[in-house]
Amino acid sequence: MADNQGINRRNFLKIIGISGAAVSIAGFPFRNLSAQTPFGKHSQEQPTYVIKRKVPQVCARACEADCAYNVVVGVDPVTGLERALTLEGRPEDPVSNGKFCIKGMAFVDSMYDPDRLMVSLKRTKPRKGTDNDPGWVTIKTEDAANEIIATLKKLKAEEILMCSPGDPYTNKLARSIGVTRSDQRTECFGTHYYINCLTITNPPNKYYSSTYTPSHHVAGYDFDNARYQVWFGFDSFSKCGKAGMLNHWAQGKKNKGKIVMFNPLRTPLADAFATEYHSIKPGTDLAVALAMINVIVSSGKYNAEFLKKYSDAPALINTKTRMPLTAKDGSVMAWCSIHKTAEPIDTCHAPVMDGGPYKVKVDGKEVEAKTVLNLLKEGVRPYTTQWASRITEVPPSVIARIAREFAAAAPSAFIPTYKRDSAGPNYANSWRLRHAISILNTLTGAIDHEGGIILLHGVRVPWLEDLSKPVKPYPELPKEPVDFRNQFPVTDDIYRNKDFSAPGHYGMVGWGLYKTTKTKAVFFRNPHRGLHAMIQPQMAEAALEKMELVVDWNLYLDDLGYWCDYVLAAPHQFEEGKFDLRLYYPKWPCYVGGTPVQKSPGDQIGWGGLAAKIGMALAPEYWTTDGSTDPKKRVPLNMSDVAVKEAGVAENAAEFMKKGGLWIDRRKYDNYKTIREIGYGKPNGRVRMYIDEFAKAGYDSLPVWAPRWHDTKGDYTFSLLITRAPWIMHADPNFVNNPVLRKMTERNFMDCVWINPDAAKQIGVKEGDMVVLENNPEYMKDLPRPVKAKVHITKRITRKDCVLTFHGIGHRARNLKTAANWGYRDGDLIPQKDPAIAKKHDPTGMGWVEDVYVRIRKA
Amino acid sequence: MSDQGDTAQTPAARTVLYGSLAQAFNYPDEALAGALADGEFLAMPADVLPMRAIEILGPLGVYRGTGRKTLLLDLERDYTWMFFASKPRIAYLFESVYNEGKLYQESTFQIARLYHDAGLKVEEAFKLPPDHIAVELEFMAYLAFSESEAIAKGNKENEQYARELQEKVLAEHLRSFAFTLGDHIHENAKTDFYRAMGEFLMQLFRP
Amino acid sequence: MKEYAILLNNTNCTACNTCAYRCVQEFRYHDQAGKGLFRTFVATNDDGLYHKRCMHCVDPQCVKNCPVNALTKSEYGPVLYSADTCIGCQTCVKVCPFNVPQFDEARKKIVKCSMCAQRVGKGTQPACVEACPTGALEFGEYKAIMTRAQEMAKKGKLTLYGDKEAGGTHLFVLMKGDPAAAGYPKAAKKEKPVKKAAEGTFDVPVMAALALGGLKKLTERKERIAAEKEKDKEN
Repeated sequence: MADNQGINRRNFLKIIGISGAAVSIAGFPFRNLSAQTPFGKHSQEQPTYVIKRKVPQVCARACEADCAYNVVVGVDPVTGLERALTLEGRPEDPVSNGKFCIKGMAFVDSMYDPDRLMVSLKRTKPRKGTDNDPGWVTIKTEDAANEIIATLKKLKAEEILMCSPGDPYTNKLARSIGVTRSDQRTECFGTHYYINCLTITNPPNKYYSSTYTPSHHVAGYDFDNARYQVWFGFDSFSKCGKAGMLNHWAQGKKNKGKIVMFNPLRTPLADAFATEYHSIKPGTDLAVALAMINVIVSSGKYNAEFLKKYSDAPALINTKTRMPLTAKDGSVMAWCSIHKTAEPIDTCHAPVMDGGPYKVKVDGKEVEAKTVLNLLKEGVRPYTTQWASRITEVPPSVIARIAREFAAAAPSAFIPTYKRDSAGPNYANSWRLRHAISILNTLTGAIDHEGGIILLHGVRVPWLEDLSKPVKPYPELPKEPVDFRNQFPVTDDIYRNKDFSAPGHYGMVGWGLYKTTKTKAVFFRNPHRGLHAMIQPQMAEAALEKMELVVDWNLYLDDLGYWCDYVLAAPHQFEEGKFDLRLYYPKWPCYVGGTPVQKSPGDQIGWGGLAAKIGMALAPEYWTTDGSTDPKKRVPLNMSDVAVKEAGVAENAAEFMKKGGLWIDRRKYDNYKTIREIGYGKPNGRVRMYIDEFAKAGYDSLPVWAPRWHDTKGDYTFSLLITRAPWIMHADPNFVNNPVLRKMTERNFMDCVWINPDAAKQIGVKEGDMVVLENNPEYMKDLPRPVKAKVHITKRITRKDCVLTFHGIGHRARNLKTAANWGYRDGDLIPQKDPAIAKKHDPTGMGWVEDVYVRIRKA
Repeated sequence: MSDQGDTAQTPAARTVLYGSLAQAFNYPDEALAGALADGEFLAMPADVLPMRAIEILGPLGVYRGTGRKTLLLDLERDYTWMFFASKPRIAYLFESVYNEGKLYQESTFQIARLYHDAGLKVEEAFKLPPDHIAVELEFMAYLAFSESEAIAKGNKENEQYARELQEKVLAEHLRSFAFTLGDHIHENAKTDFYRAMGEFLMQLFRP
Repeated sequence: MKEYAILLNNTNCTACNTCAYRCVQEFRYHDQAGKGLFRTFVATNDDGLYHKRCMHCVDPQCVKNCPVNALTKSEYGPVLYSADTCIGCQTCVKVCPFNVPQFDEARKKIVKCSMCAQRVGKGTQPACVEACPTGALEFGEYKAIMTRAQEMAKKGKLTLYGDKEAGGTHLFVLMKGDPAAAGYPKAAKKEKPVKKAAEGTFDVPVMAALALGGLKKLTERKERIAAEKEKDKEN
């Protein structure tokens, strides 16, 4: 062996275990390297690294703004090896205006996170849970997918739950198999989404697009040109970092727009952009909104022209049945002041908005009817500013003045909402607040007006079903889904019949999994936050231990992995192509695209490909153009090709990207045009204030006051406030596993719980003390899990009765180098919702995440 | 080879040594399990093996004649656990994680340039970063193999070049991280095989 | 050569720290930043936001006291730092009136902002300024920035920090209220030193191509310093 002649290729192959076939292909006896030139010194250029590529991308997972930017890539010209370095703005993007945020930049670095999953994993030991060895082995992703399919085939549709946002692939997959899809976005976006649908966007409207966005909300805000805004907790810490919004707020400030902020927390956003800030008792914003409505309607300071032409204010409501009066063609009736009779609202010459009640003949019988505006006026009459002040602890004169100023700034006056931090914050009464907000925005005529709420128009991205219509209707969805959505008829109707991408009830999934035995398999399409997005995850954790199959498609092996049978490796968001609308700021029709920055380093599978593979295996009749099982007939998936072609922007998406990947039509915004196209009523769409679906289901059709679902009790007096560090998104390891961001968080005390100095004095804690936060067992009966955290005492918490927690830390996935066991987990303190209780208070049953009082004691 | 410390003394032996170690740090397969079960893994004469090799490899004797399927499953579990799923992570397979804390950093680019300088490229099918320890070891095997061939053909220039590159890889790459990697594996591996491989790395690449 | 300065309008800042992270990516010092060693960083304090970053003094104590000329004051504004020259004595840490230079124990070097000299030399703004989503950071010619800062302070009844502190700086901070309450060090106010008329030009450091590896170096620093001394002698 000492003789070098002893080394020959055959010995080599034997020793290192390479087959002859592999060698004949590679022409080189090794496994992972292949010879390009004969061995020996040859002249070599050694140029330095260069910035060769700037790759257009769109942020798709970090916030609702979805900024467009370029990823700057350095290339080694010798080896061709590349690495992304940072971002560069795209000034032509109407959302980002050339800016990007810290989270966008962190995505660049997370492509190279050493903890990212580069292979797929399969459990070989059956016991699940944090303390059991899963016996993970590496498995080819393709093989894992096949094994998963084989197990799913043995199960009934109602035994499978998909936890995923409603992107076009998930939707088609869930619908074709007939399984329930529940959604991580629910607790953030649910309330906002549904009320927005029920008052303005009326899905599925003509601009209703398949693009993955957090909420499909169709409506954005013209912050740049607004004259007056009222923010109910909209200024969360998370928004302090959203560049796609910050640049607009900065422009609004330059344009002298006023912003009034109500929040028990004074954020840097308030410091920078609030013309006035008011501390408010948590969970009482609804009272301010109702009092504002009262001031405006009782003084007649509403935008009467808008209300008459573009809203349901003149619509007649049967006072007995609480349902609108409708003509035979279904159009809503109004009272004509000239003809003194009820006429279809659109053809009525002189609809009244006031007076009444009116006696109207319906099917030969006389019924009493009132206009929506009148019902609203009567409804809010008790809600004086003095009344609101007693509840909110905001002075009555302030509320009255703000209401007047708000009305005076019409139509460029609105209250923005996107999600939990606004349609609430997130309480059992937040659906009422969100409804009241929509009404206030209607009263000023801000909806579909420049300077107000701007609606998506002129562009659309089709759904898979538009590309290839299913040959037969999709199967029925489970009648009694594990997330109990069937017990919420208003939202269930939208989910089943109008917009299958609508948020599901993630806040009850844990309850359902734990309390029932309906589910045997859970498939998480986990955009890095499955378990973390779940309130009281301990219920789901306990339930998942008993599941036959748990799958996670993920960029990381996060703490969901403790319960998974398979973890499929997903690509990084920059390793995928993108196609997007400017939903967050839809002032102009615009398409924007992104190109993969690099190939995924490992054995990853994209979501579209995986969904199509599972779909073809489990329900091929819906995944082929002719209803066959022929893989050659698979339905087309090229939604972006169709979108750009239909818009005449490019022949296909590839050409669109070649042209720069951004198209914008900077036409003048046509006020009140889109609401006609998408709103309620045909052919002239309107904004609705009166939601008769609520009446039908036994809820209030117009907002009335309701307190939080339970009050403080004993020591449980601290109202839980939730926010996020500006650079963290849920517990997404893209951010929390980043050592630089961790340090930033710690330096800003955002890994602590924040309390007011007076409150700290009262409970005897000092800066940096460790405390325990506990739920009242009366309201969290199952699996309580107190939270231990460090205290930061700060005047930024402007009330003594609340505690601020930061969402997104407290990861339990110990394999994540930086994120593991860092900080606390707020979700442990938020009870999963008992559907029986939730439906008593809230027809959407979503949110409630801040509707918690905790006790704080020194650890 | 004056400067390769405890490594095997001839280019031929080094080729086998590095080639076998490369095999050990690729994902385990039937060939590896077979070699262990047949007692063929690193079955080289003691005089060409590095110092302490016999002692380090001694425990691998337990695998002789064992069931290949069970053995392979054990190896797969141990490998996956250590490098992809352990909590906290026992060890990373990539050099740059040790040097710069992340994937695809400067050391990744540098080693890729050395592959290029030797006329090699990483196979398309190998999708992981090129500073994977198995690839670096395979590269060393190739360089030793090339040295061996150059000697056989009397090509002094290539012989010298192959030696230079080996020294460079050792000095600038393997010694900067393989010892730590080996240490972590030696301390934590659940199988005798990986424990031994960890110790072997420590022995070979002591900084 | 023009002289430059940065204006930080704290009343538009939301502490998003985009500036801080962009700085980390510009100079690729993730390791140091992961230990809390930021060249620029925004802290959210109760009474305002504090940007801890080099003020680029007109008459910098760090430069005066550095025993090896690792710190130099350039004619065009920034106080520049050469890690190659630095011996890690930490004199600058002790004498800085703004408590800015941080010492990296592992590398025995200082961490400090250079006002992105390599970008300025190329005619682009510092990375932090370019990235700031609200326009709270502005970059421009020193006198114009100073005048703008003074006018904005007067008009908006804001406090101007950095104009007089420690004899003036090349970073002008506008804010509501007391800078000390927000976290800014209480540096003694002094009149600006009378500037010597610049003889000849003092080159902006040559831009090192944005390399994939390591920190970019300011080229030929030692030679420049030596040349400057020669010039002083001639003068």
